[in-house]
This record gives sequence, structure tokens and C-alpha cells, in this order.
Amino acid sequence: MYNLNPEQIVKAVYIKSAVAISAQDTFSDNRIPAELMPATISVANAIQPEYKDYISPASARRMAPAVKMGIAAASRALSLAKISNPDGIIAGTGMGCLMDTEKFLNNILENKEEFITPTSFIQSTHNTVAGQIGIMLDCKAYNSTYVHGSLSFESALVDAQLQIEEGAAKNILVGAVDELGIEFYQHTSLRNSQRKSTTLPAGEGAAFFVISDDKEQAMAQLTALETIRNCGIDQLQTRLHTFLTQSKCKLTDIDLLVLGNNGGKWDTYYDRLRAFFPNIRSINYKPLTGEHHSVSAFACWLGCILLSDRSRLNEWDNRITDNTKPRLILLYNQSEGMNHSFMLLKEC
Amino acid sequence: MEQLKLELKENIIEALNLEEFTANDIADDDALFGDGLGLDSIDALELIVLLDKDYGIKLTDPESSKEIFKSINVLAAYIDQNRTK
Repeated sequence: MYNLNPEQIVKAVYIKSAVAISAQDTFSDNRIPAELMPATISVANAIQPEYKDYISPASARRMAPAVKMGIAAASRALSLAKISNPDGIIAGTGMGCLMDTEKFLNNILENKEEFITPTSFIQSTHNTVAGQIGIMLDCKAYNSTYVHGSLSFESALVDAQLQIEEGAAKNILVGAVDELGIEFYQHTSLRNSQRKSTTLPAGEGAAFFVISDDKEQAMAQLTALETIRNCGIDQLQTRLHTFLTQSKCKLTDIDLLVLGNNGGKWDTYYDRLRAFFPNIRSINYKPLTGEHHSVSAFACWLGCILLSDRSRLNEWDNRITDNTKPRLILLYNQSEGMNHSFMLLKEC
Repeated sequence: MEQLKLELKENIIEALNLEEFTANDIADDDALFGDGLGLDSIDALELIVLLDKDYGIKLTDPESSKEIFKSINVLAAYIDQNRTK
């Protein structure tokens, strides 16, 4: 958690729009998926939107799914927020454009380091998504990409949060994207299996948000966000307490937990945190999407939807018996016992 | 020559991801750049690599490349005269 100059007026940060592309049908009308995906599949491909509504065929022909997902989610988020040109574009990605990275590396191997074509190289860089969004919008404002493993989305969001709080920007497009690629999963699945990292399928997706200093018609307020690289399980209570204290919030203020359980051996962190809130509802979101580096952006989308529309929560009656609309949501995620993030979303 | 033109069209469609095109959609005298197929400078780099890889032709003069890439007809004739594989 950073510290501002105490004399500086800190502006509140609101989320004006939230759009997700995931393995469930979350893009078409921003609805909460009603069905869980089969847990037996090994990869959970995202449901791809109709891209011609967002990208011209001439541009789309060079774009891998990560770029297309990012542009479609970003375009819709801007449209819902009625913002045509944001004051910044910030993206997070754990692995970047994997499909073009695979193509580029395979080309090098197959052609013995000769005949290397430019397209897959250009498209394989991690900042392709934010860059393409900037080109598409003709937006020459701040453009940055964070590649911080499973804290990539949170890192992008911290940047956006700081800029809004300090008054450096009024509206920022921020989001995260990761794609499965074609071969990468095969090379990493054995490692994940041996480490008992997760029992969920590998996933992919994109989620983009417009965050703003303007409360009008906002979906939620981002009241606090903290990332922690290393946190032993016995330190979790202290870190949570510190986070909530600095956020001027008590345990009893929180009425919904959104947790990143994935069935792996590090779920003990979620169990420990869950025990601090014995009477509070919780949602495990990763079974809906599969596991990937920027899946916490999906959790943020879910939190925004739940806070902004009570009827959406009712769609989940079979999982949440208490239909009371949540007012303050704590999102907690970690990856293999590292890269922890706490996020507080409040109703507007 | 007709076989070479068909092969060229198929290779270009694959190399440049022209997903909405088939070989039949590209006329032999269509302009490849500008108002024709609408290819751009990145496509030109891809075509230069394609000529080197598939036909052993190394293009080093950008000015001459403009003329060679005018259409399938011109490109096929140039390949026919200069190919080394």
C-alpha cells in the first residue's frame, strides 16, 4: 500500500464499467454465468465474441485471440462508460500473446534461424494489447503494460488507482488479458500437476474496466487494493488486519468474499482467510473460468456486477441462499502461496 | 505458369492470414497493395521472406520490390525467371 502526501486531497476511485470475456458467456450481456464448466476438461477456452463488431477484418487477420479479446472487452467497456478517449490505457498480462510467441519460436526452430517473419514477432510482445487499443482509439495518452505474473492485473489497477487518486487522470481504461496459446499448456501442465498447483482447467480471458473520479452511474467504488509478494500463512491474519485498518474498515463491514480457490494445495490460504469471516457468504470464482495469471480481473468484474445489480445476484440463488445485496466485497487471490492481493469493492 | 500463380495465391493467403479470401477471389492482375488486396508494409516484409524461403529469391532493392509485387501476374513472371529452387 502506498502513501500519498497527507496534505494532498485523495480522490475516490469509481468503476464505471466492467466487461469480461471468459469460458462462460459473460460478454454478451454482462451476466453472471449460470452454469459451472465441466471440471474434467483440461483447458477452458474463452467464448469468443463476434469480433467484426469491434475490429475490421483487415486488422483482425494479424491478431491472436489475446489481442482480439482485449480490444473487444476494452471497446465495450468504453462504450458502456460513454468514454471515447480515456486519459490512459493500462493492461496487465501474465504471459502476453502466447500464440504468436509460439509461432515465432517454432519458426526459428523449423527454419534454422532463417526466414523469420515480422508479424508473429510484432504481435508476440506483451504490450501488443494495450498498444493495439491505443492505435484503434487513436489515443496518444499514457499507455502501459504490467507483466507481473499473477499480480499483473492488480499492478495495472494500482497504477490506474494512483493516477485517479492523485488527479493525474479522470478516466482510465484498465484491464487484463491472457490466452491459452496452442502448445504452451502442454509444456506446463506436467509441472502444475507435479506441484499440485490446481485441479482446475487452464483458462484464458480478458476483463476491462473504465475507472474514474466520477461517481455518477458507477458500478462500484474501488476503496482499497494491496499486493503482497510473500506472505506466510501464519502472517495472513496480520496482513489482512493491517489492510482493513488502513482502509478504515472492520471485518464485520464486509458482507461477501470473492475467493480464488482452485483446488490446489495452496487453498489452505483461502481456508484460513475464510475462517476469519465465519458468518459471511463467499464465492469461489475460478471454477467458472479456469486458472490463469490474470483471472483476478474476472473476480473484479464479478464483484462489480454483484454490487451494481441485485437481480444478478438472484441468478445465483442456488449458490447464494441469502439474496441480500452485498455492500462491501473483499476479493482475495494468491498463486502458489505467493502474489497475494486484497481488493475492496464498495457499492455506490 | 498457371500452376505457379495458383500456388502463389495459396501461399500468400496462408502467409498473410487473408482468412476471408480464397485463391479464386484473387485475379491474376489485381493490385496486391493499395486498392486491390489492400496489403501494407508489414505484408511486404512477409512477401520478401516468402520469396526467399520458397523460391530462393533475395530482394534487396525496395524500389524494385514495388514493381515485382504489383500483381500475381508480375510476381509469377519474376519468380519464373529468377527462382533458384
